Amino acid sequence: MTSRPGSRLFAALLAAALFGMGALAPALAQNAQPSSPAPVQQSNPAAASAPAPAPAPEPSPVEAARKQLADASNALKALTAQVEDQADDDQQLADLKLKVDALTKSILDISVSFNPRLTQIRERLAALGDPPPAGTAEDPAVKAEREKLNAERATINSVTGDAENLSVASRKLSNAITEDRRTLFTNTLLRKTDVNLDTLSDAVTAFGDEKTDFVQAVSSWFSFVWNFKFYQLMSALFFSVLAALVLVIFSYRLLSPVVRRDAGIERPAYLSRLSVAFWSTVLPTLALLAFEAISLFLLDNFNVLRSDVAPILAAFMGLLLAIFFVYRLTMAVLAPLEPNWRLAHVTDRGARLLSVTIMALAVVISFDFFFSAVSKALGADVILTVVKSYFTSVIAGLMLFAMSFIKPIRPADAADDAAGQAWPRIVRWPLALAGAALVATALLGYVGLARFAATQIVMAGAVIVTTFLGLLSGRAIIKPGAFADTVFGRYCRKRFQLGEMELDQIGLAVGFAFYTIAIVIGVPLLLMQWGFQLQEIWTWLSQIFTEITIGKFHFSIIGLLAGVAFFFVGLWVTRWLQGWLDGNVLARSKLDSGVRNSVKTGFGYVGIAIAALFGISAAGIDLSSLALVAGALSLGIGFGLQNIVSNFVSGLILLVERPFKVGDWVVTGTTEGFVRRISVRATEIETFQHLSIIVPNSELINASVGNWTHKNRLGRVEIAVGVGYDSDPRRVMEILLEIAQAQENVLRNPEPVVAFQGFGDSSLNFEIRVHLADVLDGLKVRNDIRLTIFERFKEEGIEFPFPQRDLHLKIEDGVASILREAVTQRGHFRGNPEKVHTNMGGLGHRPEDDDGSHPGHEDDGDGDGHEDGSHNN
Amino acid sequence: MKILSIAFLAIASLVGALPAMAADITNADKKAVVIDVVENGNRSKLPLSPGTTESICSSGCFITAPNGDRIGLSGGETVKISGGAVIVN
Repeated sequence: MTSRPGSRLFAALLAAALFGMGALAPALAQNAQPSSPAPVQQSNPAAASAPAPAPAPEPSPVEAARKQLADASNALKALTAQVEDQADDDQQLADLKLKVDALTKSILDISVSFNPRLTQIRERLAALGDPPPAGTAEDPAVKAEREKLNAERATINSVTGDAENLSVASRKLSNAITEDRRTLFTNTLLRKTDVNLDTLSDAVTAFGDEKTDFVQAVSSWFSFVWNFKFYQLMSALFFSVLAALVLVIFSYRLLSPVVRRDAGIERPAYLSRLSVAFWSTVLPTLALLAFEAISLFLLDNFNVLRSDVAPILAAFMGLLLAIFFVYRLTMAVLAPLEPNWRLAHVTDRGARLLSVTIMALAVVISFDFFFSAVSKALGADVILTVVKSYFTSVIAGLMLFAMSFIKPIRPADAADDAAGQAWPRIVRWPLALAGAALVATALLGYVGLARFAATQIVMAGAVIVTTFLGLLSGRAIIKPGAFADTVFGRYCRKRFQLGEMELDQIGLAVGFAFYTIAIVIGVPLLLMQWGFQLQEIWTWLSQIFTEITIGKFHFSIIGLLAGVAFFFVGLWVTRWLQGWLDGNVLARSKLDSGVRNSVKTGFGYVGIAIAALFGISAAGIDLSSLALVAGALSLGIGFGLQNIVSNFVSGLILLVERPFKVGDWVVTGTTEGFVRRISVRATEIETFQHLSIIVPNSELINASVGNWTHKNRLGRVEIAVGVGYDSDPRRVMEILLEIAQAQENVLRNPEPVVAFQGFGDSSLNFEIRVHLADVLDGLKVRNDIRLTIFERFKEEGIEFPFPQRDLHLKIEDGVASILREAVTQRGHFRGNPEKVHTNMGGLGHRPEDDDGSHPGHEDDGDGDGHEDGSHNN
Repeated sequence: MKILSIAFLAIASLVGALPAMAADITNADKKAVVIDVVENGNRSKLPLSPGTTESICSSGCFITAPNGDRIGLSGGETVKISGGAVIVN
């Protein structure tokens, strides 16, 4: 993924891809039905006469609506007539259905527009009250108004009734069209035509006629245009070529490393190959599409086109576009001449053969469509179309069949020019079967079916391959680190200072976007290829997104997404408000930081709760049903989440009661340190060793907690000191007090105290007690005081005593004589201590002999106070 | 987190443009009513017990109230039957 970082703009240009793919859709659509008559051919009287809620000059809106309904009724009649006329043209029927549906909608809109007026009338009638019983006198003005309102209401009802009937009729027509189209489709597919010598000769005659017609039509048109519309023709061509050139040059300059293959690169990375494949297919096709669309549009606008030539020209352009697109796609995927840029795992020979067969297939089928369009435009004999389609299907079938025998697959680790392996069975057999089936169907006379199938195979194949490319590129970019290697990734890193982590996440998002784009464009294209209308697909989609019903339960994906979106928006607003509140309002209120923190945190919780409520209601989840669930579960939750709930409530209490705040030095049963964070469930305490301890809130509420800095930071520190017994305690206390008073940071009030603590074993013990404004300074103050004490005592000659012991030996008479004897003996064996040791057990050590210079014999077990009595301690 | 919220916003605004949902029709009267509904070219009768709500008309329809008023609905409205009359919100 890293061999060619400079060419990975592909993934990066997500936005461009969006536009590119979006623009690809019409291209493919046109490919899918290259022979379909261009829209210029259809003049649509029905759409023009469809009622539009125009600002009517009539005084009464009801009358205007009546007129609109009458128009709609006429339009419906016209449409019905057209449906009967065009009963054998699927494309026309599809267009008519759209018009009928629009008409139905407009009829409904007319009656919907009465709703506000009806409401007004109803309310006014209610205000006027019921008519009084017969024989009672009533204000004639009231009576007149009531009668007028009732009359208007009746009129509206009757108009709505008409609209209702009209809408039923219009809906019936729409359903009838659907039915017609279905029948037409089956009839076309299953009509059997015997192709024999007679039909062939008929077709040859018809072909001759058609050729004459064609040449005549085109040449007469051309000479007309050349002589009378020359400038228009040239300017149309000029502008469309200009547009295409601008598109090509601009996009090539912008994307040059990803559109062109760099022959110098030994083994381009997969992502580069993919991006080059994709863009080198899409961009030139788009440019051609732009050229064709603009030139057709301009020629039509300049009145250069003639009604018989327009569909031929459109079909010709469709033919060019389809062949060009398939050509680019084949070259992109197979790259027969540049094995290092090849996407598919095929050998050189396999790539060559495959591209030839695929191109042949595309050319044959496109030309079939073109000729069908020409025949239709010139009103040629049907038998010609049938025979053409017959040959097309047979050739396409043979191509497919032949394709199944190519051995294109490159064996793993083999060179590009090695001999290839056969297709895997899963590809080979369907190809062979499809080819054979096409030929057989055509030979049996089901030409319509064969032609349909051949088109489906080629066009659906092209769409599927393109979609697959999109999916593959999504998969490639989603791999860790792939996005960061792209040009765009590197630009992002530089421009926005993003880290690896963010880039990786963006890569993930871009990959998913690629998947989405590929599927969102590919699947509808495929469906359209299979004869579904865009409108129908849109309706399905909207139904899937807006209304999913499982039994009695309704939900909508949109609603759920909107709910989640609402929640995040609420969260974001809360965070922002929180920041604003903290930074602008609370900062100026001179509130204690603990209060500030509590307010901020509490505000955050309220915000999250509100956001969640908003989200739930936006998702369309009924809060009352939620309450039922909550009620049923609350017992279980009460037991199961007892701790969590108790911690949560404790957290709230901590926020309100504020026994400690963030930054306080607290002592709990087990912990001591600074409070770093008070959250819903637990409080984070950081010890002096920077160990974070998470203490559940309930523990802090239920157990006693010491807080050194609760109300203020005032605190007392003590320093113990011991001096020798020969020191003067009064003098010592004086000195200590002086030191304490002279010390920085020590409060004068309460003033420092020196306490004579007592008579220790070795020392007189004193304690200095000083109060500090900030107890956090304690360590420094204690250090300073100790240092000063040491220095002053040294100056004053006051001693720090070592621990002292007076040792009293109580020796009995008998023992004394034994000792004396032992010592005498030891004197004799002085030269042989081993012996003394053995015989006397070390008891014969006489103190007067001890000169402290027996190396290696200090620990001979006598324990005689040799080391200052410290053994006795 | 920020990217996520933006993405959700984008999706929500994108899909917000889709067509409206069904109309909810509620019977606020004390007695059951029957409403004539013409939807997709089919006439049908919709019985509504007191206090119940039904979702109809995902693609627009005509209804006839018990008092004879005829109303066109484009879908997405909230409709109440009160005193035999239809109140559209």
